[in-house]
Amino acid sequence: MTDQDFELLHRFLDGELSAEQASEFEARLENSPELAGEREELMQVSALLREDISTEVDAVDFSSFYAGIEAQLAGDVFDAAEEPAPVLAREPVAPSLMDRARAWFQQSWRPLLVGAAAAAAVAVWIVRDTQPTNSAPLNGPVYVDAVSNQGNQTVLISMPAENEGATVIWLLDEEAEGTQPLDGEDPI
Amino acid sequence: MKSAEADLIGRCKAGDRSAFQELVEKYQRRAYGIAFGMLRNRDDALDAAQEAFVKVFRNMRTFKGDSSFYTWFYRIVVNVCIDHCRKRAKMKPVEYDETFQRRDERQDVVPLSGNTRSMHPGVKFEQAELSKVLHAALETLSENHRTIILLREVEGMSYEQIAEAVGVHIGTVMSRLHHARKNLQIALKPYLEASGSEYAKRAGAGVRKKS
Repeated sequence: MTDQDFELLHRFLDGELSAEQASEFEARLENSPELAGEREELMQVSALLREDISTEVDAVDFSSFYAGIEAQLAGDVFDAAEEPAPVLAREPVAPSLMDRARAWFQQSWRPLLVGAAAAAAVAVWIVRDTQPTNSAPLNGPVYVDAVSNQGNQTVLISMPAENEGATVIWLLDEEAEGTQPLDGEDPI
Repeated sequence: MKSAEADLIGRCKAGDRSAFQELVEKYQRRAYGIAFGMLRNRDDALDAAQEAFVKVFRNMRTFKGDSSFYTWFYRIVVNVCIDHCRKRAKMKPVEYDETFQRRDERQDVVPLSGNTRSMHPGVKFEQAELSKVLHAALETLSENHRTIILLREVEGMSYEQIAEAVGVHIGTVMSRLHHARKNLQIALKPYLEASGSEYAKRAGAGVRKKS
């Protein structure tokens, strides 16, 4: 049996041949015991498979089948009317003068103000902290030599005075997120 | 799509709970049949069939109606079953001929003749035994081959419907179907009657012709 015969046989069994092709093939089947035997076996395989599945499906109790689905959908919205309204994209709008001023403040002055406030807080804390510690206790105030803004961090740099032998660098996280406001949020 | 089904689908898309229940009851046996064929375990098949319906519900609004609900639904069922198969990692794809030729040579395999089955049509032992043989034979097929033979033999889908449901070309459907059938034929050969089987006659009644 050729590959072409084999393909035709499958298509015949699956009803995928035209009426004319099927008639021609049936005539060939009558004259070819090999082809007819192959058809017989394939038909039995199909029948056994169908019967096996059918027997299994008949043996199953589906009375609580839907309840199982419903339980999984318990948290879902069944009523279309309860579905939240879709979020529509807003048309881009040119920023107002006030918005631009806020953005400029956000980007230019805010880090410096935060840095200065942090420096003042550190100085007050040092003055108040009179308890000795095991790690290089500092006597007297610490003078901040420089304030540097690096992204989201404000760095306070205090160079050692004579005879102190300590360098203090303070890293203060300003914000976890970027300073640029998200769309639709107040920039400040 | 038939108008009654189109109406049912429309009601489901609108969130009609009773319509969805009706849809489930209409397709539950068929979904379970495919799932059982794929997974060969009742609990797993019930879980998979239920999961498929949950997905149907959750994705109902995305069903555009460009394809028939029938094929869209089966695509979901098949994908859920394939996910289950992969989770279980029980599938062992085997190139055909290699395993079955060895099995074919076994002397301890007792044929289930068609005549014997005809004389004792209600013997559960034979059914259980045959089911085990089918289970073993199906398990040696890859997921893709198993899917296609089940959609064809159990659901009676056309090549075109299978291609749409599985998302492959018709040529691929034919190739996989032939391959899967050949594997099953070799595996079941010791159990097949050469001719005259009652089952073969019944199967023959299902052969349809294109007009």
